[in-house]
Amino acid sequence: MSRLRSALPGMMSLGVIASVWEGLTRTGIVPRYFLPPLDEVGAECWRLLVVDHTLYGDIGISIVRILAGFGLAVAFGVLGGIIAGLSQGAEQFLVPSIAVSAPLPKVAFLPLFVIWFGLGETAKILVVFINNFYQPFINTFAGVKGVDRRYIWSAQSMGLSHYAIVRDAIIPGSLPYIIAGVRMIAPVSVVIIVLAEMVAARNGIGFYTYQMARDYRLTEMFVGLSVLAVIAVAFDLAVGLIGRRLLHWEGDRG
Amino acid sequence: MSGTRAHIIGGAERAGVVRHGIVARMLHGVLAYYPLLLIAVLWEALTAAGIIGTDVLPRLDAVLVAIWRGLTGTTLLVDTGISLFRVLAGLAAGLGIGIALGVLTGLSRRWDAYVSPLLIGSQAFPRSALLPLFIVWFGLGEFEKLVVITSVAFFPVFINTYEGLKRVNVQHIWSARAMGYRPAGILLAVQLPSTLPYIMSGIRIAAPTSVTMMVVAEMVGARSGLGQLVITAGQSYRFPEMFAGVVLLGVVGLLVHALINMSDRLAIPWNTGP
Repeated sequence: MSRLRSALPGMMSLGVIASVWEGLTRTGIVPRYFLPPLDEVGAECWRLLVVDHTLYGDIGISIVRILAGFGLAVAFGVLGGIIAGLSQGAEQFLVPSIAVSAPLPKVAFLPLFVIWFGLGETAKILVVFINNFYQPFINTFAGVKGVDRRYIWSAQSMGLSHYAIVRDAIIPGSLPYIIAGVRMIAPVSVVIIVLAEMVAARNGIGFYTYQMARDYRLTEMFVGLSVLAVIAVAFDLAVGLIGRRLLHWEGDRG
Repeated sequence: MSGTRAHIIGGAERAGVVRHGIVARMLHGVLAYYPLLLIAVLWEALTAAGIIGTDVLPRLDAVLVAIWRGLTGTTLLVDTGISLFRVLAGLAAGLGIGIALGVLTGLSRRWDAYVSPLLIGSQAFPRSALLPLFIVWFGLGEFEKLVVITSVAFFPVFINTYEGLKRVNVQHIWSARAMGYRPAGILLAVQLPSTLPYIMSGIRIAAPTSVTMMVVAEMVGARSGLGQLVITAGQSYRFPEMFAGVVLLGVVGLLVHALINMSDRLAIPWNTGP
């Protein structure tokens, strides 16, 4: 009940925004080519998603790109971070170069990737990958470095193998950092794939949204925006949920 | 305790390095990046030997010549300046709006109740998807670029200002009040200074996304700037120039990064942490 009451003002302002939007567009104060009426966006959503099923191809390919780029970034970032955190040589090899290249805008490579790999999936997945590789790497590295040495010493004194120490002490010990890094790149993956689809794609929901805007079909464009919002929020929630599951022993802190 | 020890060790190391002299120190600094140097050498060797054709990868020296020509012949220099300016303008506007919204929602219970749920609820929304909408609304001019960059830059600043204000030590506020400070005085003298580290880390989060948005906004539709240069050079297969644009975009990213580090030290000199 009290939760409902605290959510009430937020709902009210959402309602105010919706009615102002609808009012301004219906009365023609804001022209249609600038902002379509809200209920028309809703009707178009219904038509494209429920009646015609036209958008699912674009939605599917975008989700595949997001998952592929995100998955590669997590896999290589975490693996690289663990290796750099464990081995002095790997640390000296990887960390300075990765630190200095972290602030570079990786989307700048997109036209280059398109020239190398064409307009297929490789260029877009690659750009999501190199953009998102850094955060899991940095977090995993910091997490591994920050594992309490006493856990490692006691594992060693119990005669555990190197592999077992990594599996039972180092990875669980650094997992909160790893999860935090992975959670940070989940929304960024969606951001980057949208940009990549605008610059270099023939399909995908980001491409669709951009194309509709170029044709001044704003109602369809808002449908694309809404779909992207749903994808982003769902992906963020899913990654957060998996993270909390993996960190179940941390209680509610994760 | 451990902090002081790290300081002493760090100091000893620094003293040791100083004895080696400036040349050795610079050499040491450059050698830390030897994998990058390795890539550069490999790049030049493979392209010069013709193992990788210049239709795939231009020679490194050709890229360097293109950068040098562009920077001395002012074309690239102007584009670099424009790109840098766009990012900084967007970051500055985002900083202003973010702090204003953060202070409003962080201090007023009413604004907090009505506005924060909307803003925080939109956290996961991919703001990059608004780029087409802004193009329709504002055309392809400078204002569109500013709005695009500001729309991603303000959010981390807002959320950090908001969170930071909630974490100000209440006793500090009470003592300021007891000393007769008015609410505005408390905000300026107590709340904002202790929120400053949060605001700075907000900018730190905002900066890379802002640079990314600048690049794409320039690629999608602009008459100037490095992003536009990379696209047009790529389309007409002027590879050395295209690579020069990519390299200079990297320089813009590093400059923004360095600028934030610098302002970090200026704004919060008491914050000696990493």
